[in-house]
Amino acid sequence: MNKKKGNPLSEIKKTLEHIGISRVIVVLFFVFLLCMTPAQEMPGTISNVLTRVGMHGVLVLAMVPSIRSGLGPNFAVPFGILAGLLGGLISVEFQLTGIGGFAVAVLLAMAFSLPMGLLFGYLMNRVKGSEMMVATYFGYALVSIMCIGWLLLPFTNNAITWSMGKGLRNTINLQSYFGNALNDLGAIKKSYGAGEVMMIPVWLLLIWLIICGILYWKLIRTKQVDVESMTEEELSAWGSIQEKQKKTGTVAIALATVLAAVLAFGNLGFLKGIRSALSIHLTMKAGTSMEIPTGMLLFLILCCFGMWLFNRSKTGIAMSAAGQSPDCARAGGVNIGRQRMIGAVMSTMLAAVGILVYAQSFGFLQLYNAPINMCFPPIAAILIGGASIREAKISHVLVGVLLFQGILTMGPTIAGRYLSGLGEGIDPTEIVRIIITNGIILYALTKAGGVSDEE
Amino acid sequence: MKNKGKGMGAFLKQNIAAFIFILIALICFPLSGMKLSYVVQQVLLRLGQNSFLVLALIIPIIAGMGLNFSITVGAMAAQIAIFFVTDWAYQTGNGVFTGFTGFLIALVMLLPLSVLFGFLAGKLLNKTKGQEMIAGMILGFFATGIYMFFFLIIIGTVIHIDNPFLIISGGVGVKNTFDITISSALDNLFNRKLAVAGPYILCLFTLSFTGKINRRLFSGKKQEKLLSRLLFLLGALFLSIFLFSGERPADVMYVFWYLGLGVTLLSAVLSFVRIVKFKMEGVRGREVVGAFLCLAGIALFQALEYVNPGSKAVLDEIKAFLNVRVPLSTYLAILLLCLFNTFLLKTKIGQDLRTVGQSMSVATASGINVNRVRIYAIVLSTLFAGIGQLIYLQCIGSVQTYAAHNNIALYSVAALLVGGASITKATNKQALFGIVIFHTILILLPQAVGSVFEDAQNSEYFRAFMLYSVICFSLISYAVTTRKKRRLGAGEELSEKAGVSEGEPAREITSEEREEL
Repeated sequence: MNKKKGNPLSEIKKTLEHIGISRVIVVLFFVFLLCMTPAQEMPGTISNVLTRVGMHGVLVLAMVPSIRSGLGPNFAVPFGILAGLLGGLISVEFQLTGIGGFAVAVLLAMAFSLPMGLLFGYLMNRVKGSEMMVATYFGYALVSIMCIGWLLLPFTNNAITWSMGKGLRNTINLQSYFGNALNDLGAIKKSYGAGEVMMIPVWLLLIWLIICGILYWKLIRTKQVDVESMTEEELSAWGSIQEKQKKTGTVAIALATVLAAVLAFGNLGFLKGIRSALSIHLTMKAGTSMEIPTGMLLFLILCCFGMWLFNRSKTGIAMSAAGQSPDCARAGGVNIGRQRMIGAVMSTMLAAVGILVYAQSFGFLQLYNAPINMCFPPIAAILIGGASIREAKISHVLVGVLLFQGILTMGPTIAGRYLSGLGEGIDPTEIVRIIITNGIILYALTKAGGVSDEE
Repeated sequence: MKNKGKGMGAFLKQNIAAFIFILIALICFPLSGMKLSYVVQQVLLRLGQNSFLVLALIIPIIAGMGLNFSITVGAMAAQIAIFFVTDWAYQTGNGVFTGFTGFLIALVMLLPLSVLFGFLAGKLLNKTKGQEMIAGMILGFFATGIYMFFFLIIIGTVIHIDNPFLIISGGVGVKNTFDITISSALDNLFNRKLAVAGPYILCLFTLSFTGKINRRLFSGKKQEKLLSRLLFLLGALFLSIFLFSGERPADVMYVFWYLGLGVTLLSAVLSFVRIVKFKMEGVRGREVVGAFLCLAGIALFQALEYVNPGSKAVLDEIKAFLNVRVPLSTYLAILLLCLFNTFLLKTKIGQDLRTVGQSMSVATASGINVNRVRIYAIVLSTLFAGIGQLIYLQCIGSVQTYAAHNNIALYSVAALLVGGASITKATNKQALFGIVIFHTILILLPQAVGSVFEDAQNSEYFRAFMLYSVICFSLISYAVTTRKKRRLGAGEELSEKAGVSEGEPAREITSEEREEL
């Protein structure tokens, strides 16, 4: 066997390069913030992070179809958001409440976003090569013309319109309509009294992560082999070995995960002892509470699952082929324009639904200029998650939104705690947000720009 | 004559966007109910404020890098320079840091900063070939983050500045706005009222136009070049002597004024002779029209000086109009930049820029270091943007530390596009014309919209819509035409097609605007 074994250091370096230096920085920053968060604030932080993940998740998911179909990140998210806002407004206008109101809003939003998505797709098909720039200014232009629209729309509900004068309010309170409709759906609320102990199985989590990491590295990862120096038989043997290894690895990881879950949540006899030993024990202050917005998270997971299924469908595969290698796809009989159109429509629809999920959790519909810069955080999130301008997966969405929103949630509390010398009204997290958001987009552009030029 | 008609048609077609915006301005003016003197004053002021920034966009366009949204970075360099100059002025109490000397010190500080920033921006844009515009835009945002980090956290923690005028009371971070000590430094260096400056500028234009027409008269003579420029130089000399002789020149100096006027008239008469003698051959229509309009303008100014209308209100209006201050020193700086842009294109670097702009592969094949040329373009653009922001801020008189640079790129780009430029083609004239017409609309629009809709809020949204849609449509038309070209699959025909593409953006703007409005 003349299989060359790579130097592990160089392999790690290669992997780092593959992940991207800016992502490594973001992850390290996330871990740093996590370590700095005081233990007693953990429950609050966790519920905040989860809420924000749920809020932004669908908007981030909206990037997946547009990236996969070759449009690049959807810079025209504000355009889709307009449809969502319109749907939400109509639902409020008819005084629909609770989950029903939310459902009606979502359906209306999807109905509005369909023609809008078609328009967007048509435009994108005409401007191949500079989609991102056109999409950005298209979104800007339509948001600003819609500002005039908000002034003229004939709504009558007093919650929407100003009681005096023309036009709609800047922010519309959803509290008595479908505010928190998804969040409260099966929400898990837990409050702790003073002195109560909470166990967080951190060590267990760490052990699980390490085991999974080792398994991935040893078994699942596609290893670099010197293909040219191998005979064909060796190559096929190597392939089957790798396939087998991958299977074993997956099964092992699944087993480890189940085991870890049992240990973490099992509350039986001796398991309790193990759990207790592998956990950090937090003594709570009075009034600490934790809330997990189950409904919203489930909705996000549902959307992600739907997207995942779509990606595996015939259309989904054709779409990703059209996005990744248009020439091959065209040779294979895929109608590229149609696939891009589907991507644009799906992305616009998801943006419309996403803003409703966001709004019901936030508690307000924000009109006028509020949507104008809504496109940058989701783009940054998916890019942090590991997507590029030409490739995106569901896992990128989930990882990215967790990291990005985690940083944005934990940042202010920590900054407030340790940087008290700053002047009033200065929020260093705002600066960090700007730098991370745009830095990661720039990084992704430098990785992709050269390629599009060579084509 | 046939030829001329065709030329006019093409001229109309090429500049249809500009005509539409002129039309919008003309409609807005009566609706807004604003005084002409006020509008003229504002436009002249803003022409001085913004020209440099808009002209800074031209070089990257020629280099094929599209609209340089990263001029924000240059603006930041200017703000950093101004901040330190202001700080030193407060700290030392030294007069050097105020007024024009302060301006020069800021300029000297700005040079290395903006060259460095431009270099970094150029490096980045070289890595994102084909997506320069979006990369430039995001770079502007990213740089804003770093800039905020510098001004909010570094100043006060690493760099200690003890200055209650600039620093927030806690000692960390710079205030939201601060007054600068070099306000109006350049504008006040040399300005005259419109009654003097207007005819002066118009005379120079007349001399330049008629000089071009008259060249035929001297063709074949020994010193053709000198002869054809003699009148221009003579007129400019006389008029400038008058202009520099002070705000209220002695009576003797008026001799020079009338001499200058006489030379201008002589030149115009010569042009008339030439046109009678040689007919219209070799004369461009716009030169004749331009000369005619300028002469009419001069006559108008002379008439306004002596006119005596019945009502007092009209008289006041005329007086206000004639007394508008014109910042000639700022205009001189702008003129120099225009000349630089023109001059640069005639040099080796300019030719390289053009080649790179037409096709990077051709440029590489002919031995041009494409990346380096593109970095030159961005460095120059950033530098000029920095100077432009310096001029802008000295005119405003105070700095909004965290907001002054935000919309610079947006407004400059929109002004350039309104002037009829596209993403692949832009000239000095388009830039200057664009600023005038764009800012006229910006001034008039709020009042006009307010008077029609009886709602002031609308105007803000209208303005935003105008800005974004102008940019959006030129981006779309650019993308559509480049795609068509790519389909034709002919890299060599790029330059020939450029003329055809000009008409397209304009038509799309019209249809869309009709739809939306």
